[in-house]
Amino acid sequence: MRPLRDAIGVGFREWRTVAVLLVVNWLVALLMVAPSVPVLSAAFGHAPLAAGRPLMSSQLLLGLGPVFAGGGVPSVLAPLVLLVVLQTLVVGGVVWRACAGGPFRLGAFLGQSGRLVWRNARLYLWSLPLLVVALGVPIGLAFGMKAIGLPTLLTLHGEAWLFGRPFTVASVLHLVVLVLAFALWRLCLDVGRVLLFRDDLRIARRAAWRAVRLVVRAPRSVLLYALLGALATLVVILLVRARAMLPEGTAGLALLALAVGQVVVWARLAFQVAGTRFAAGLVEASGGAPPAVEDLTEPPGAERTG
Amino acid sequence: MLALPLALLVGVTPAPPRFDSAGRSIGPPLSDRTASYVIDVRYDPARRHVAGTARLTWTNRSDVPQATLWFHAYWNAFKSSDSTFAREEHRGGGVRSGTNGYGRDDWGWTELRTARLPDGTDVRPTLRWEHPDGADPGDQTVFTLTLPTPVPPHGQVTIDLGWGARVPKLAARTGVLGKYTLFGQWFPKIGVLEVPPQRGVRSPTWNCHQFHATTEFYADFGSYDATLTVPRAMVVGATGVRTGRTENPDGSVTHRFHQDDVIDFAWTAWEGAEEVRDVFRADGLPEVALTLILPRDAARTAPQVLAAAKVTLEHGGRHWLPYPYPHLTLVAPPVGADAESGGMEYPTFVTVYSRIDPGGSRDTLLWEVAIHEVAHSWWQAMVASNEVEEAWLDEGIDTWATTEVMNSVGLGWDFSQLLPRGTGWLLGPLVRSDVPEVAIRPPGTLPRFQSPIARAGWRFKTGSEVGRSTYGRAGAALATLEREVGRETFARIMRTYAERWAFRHPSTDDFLQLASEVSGKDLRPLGNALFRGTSGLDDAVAELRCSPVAPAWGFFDVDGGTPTFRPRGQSGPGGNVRCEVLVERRGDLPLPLEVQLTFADGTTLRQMVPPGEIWSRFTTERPLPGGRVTLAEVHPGSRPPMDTQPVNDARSLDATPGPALTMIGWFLYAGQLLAAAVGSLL
Repeated sequence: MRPLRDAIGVGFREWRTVAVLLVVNWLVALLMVAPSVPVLSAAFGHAPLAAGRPLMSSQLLLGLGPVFAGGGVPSVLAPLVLLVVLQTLVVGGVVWRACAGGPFRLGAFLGQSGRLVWRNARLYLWSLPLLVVALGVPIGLAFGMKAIGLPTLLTLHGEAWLFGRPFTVASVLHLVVLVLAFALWRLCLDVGRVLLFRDDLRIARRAAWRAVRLVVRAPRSVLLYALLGALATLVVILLVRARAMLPEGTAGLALLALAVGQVVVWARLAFQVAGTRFAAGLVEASGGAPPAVEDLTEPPGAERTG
Repeated sequence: MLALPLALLVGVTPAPPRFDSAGRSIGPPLSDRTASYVIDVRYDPARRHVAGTARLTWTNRSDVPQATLWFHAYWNAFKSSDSTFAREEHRGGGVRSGTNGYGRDDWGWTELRTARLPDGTDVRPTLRWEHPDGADPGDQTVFTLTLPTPVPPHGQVTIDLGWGARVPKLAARTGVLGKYTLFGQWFPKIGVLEVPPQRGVRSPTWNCHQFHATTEFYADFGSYDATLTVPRAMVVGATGVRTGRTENPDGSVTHRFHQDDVIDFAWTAWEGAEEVRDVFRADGLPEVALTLILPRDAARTAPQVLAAAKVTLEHGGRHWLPYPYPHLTLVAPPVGADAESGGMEYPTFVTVYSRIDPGGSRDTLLWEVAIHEVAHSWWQAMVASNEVEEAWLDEGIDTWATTEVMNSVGLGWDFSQLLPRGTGWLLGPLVRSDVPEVAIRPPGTLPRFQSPIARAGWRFKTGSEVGRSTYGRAGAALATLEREVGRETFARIMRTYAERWAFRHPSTDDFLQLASEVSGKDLRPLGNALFRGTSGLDDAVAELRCSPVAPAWGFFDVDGGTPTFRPRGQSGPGGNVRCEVLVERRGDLPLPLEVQLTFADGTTLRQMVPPGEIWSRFTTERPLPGGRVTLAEVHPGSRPPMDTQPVNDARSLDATPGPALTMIGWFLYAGQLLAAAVGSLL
């Protein structure tokens, strides 16, 4: 459990790294919402009949059809494309922070990000076949379970979500298998990124392959990594619920809710950093070499930090 | 036998029944019983096969001899992709998913094998497939039989029909899914010979349409006596009263049902279902036996569905017309069959919803659907409008009726009830709400519609337009009429409509004529605009601005001398304020438009927008500080239900940042969560 504690500790101590990720998150979310802002402001900016109403009301959420009839619906696709680009970019910096430690400097963060961006992009593409294989297991299992009459969330009839009982012993057990398969893939990806950084590997395919071998030889780490993901989900769920319990109706409450929402996202992003740190720990524990790249946290000539 | 003493025990005095315990009317018939059937059918679920005979007794209500009789063979809608139903569905016009996902073994059909007259003549060879709605020559959902001797005016004919059918996979309110089978529109059913002045026809005309993907049904009243033989393990529920149950040596059971004065006969045969029985009793209303058939694991649903049915029977009985039938069967299909067959109305037999885990003691989804379907017992099953050509007369009126019943028991929508079990504690606070029923089905999003409400179902532009027009928009149109005449008068209109048109076939004109007569106000112009036009309504306060009135500047005559220049000045305290209000009519529905301005000193000013104007600007100039217009609103005190965007009916001078920030904040938060979730995949 110690690697888990260490990873979470790093995730929450690396607040500057999380802040960078939050900025990326904000950029994407703002781009999503941007088309709606003028439309919503025009419709509700001087609307006493909507004042004091919560989101779940006929005036607000159920009244959006006519408001958006002339356009202004939030956009999703383009901002998500931007997210892919930005996330691929900053992941190099995140790995650097997870591996190298030391003081945070934005320039160094961006430098590492830029240095590793293409290798990380190639690594991600090389990890996709593993994703297919990893998810193939729970998907195949789902069809097998369906054949013998056991429900899973993947094979459930759509109506079961409304009229039936989607969460059963069988479906939850299958969900656990699905989570483990996903954790396996995600850990391989994180380990591959760490290897790219620490060993300064130029061939992403080699890093991907080494990561798979390393992770497969450490099945306990997959369980711990899945536990880390479950813990992250639990924390986020509790924070989401706390956020949802806030009253609504005034500008002040809306701003308060937005602020609390940042705590939710912050927690999620901190766990993302923790996941990378966990992978770095796994590589270190396997006897991986120290970073072979120039540590950009220190000026040239200074003593390298570990 | 026990009913009377029990009723006395609980202090309820029911009204005398209109039917006996065998479903036969006591006293004169309630309907003209134009088409009556004696049906005998055997269902083999293993082969998905039905074999049946039906003795049809049909009365020619016209003054013209009828040699050619029109029939429906609606299960042929599921025979091939050539049917009108399948073709319309393929174009995306269906209301339910239907045959789109059919595999090789899913198709079904019906085949008329014999049609014998009392003298033994088989008129089956005269069968001809008809296509009254044009197109789709491969469709086989309507056929005619030609008799050697025409049925004389007001005469009767009896035909013994023999048919076989393969049960289709569950689609559009009928068919089989697993161990559950719903039989709707399942036997060779004669069309309706409309006789002047019925529904505006000028001469006797057969009304017998193909089965369309977006329409329901239309039939004459009659008596039905059905003998249904099924495997012993199957629970059976049907239209009418069960009058017999016989166990057969071959392991099958024969059930017998009878009901006078109904327009159709539907039934279900379902292995493994649970059957729950109850009785509706209320002072001054006839007693109604209730049977609920539902999945075993959803038994917790039963009390709620039955309670909703009772509430509707009482409300309808007191406000419209007492429910006269002695029995009502409710069927809640199994999971997987709800979308295709849940929420459907047949006479004394409706399908509803059930949930394994109801969302609380009053699960709105269960209640709303049960209320809506039971209310159809009035609006279509008794007041038997043509669902094919004027669907609003049942769905629109029933939407209004559903709102009435739900309001009477204080039932609104809490979306957290819709969450799956185990997620409520997490997501419940996110979606907790109390939304009134009327807001669930709004009239539309734009103040101009694609089609009139009163239009044949298959002639709407899209399938979803049929639903929007005939439910929410029609309900709002009725509420608009109610606003015109007042709640009390409108209640009188609906009661009179039910009383006068029960067991007959009204049209849109009949409804508007009656509404005008009862209200003493000619509602036909507005009614025609609402139901036959495409005009909508969105009256809005588009602008409200106030500014201090600056002293005039320029050249002015002083003491009759040469004009003298007075420079631009500032208005000091105590000057006037000028306020401008721009009101826009964004729809063409001809309703009077009143505007109310509220001033800072609390006074109000009301003015009418001149008829025909699509915008109007109101200007006021009053002393500061009380003369500032703080609020401008249209339709003060009574918002028109047809208004597509009620929020813009009022505009305040002061900004209201709360709603916009709430919405933007939520969107931003949702975007952030989405980005974080997607980010975890990268």
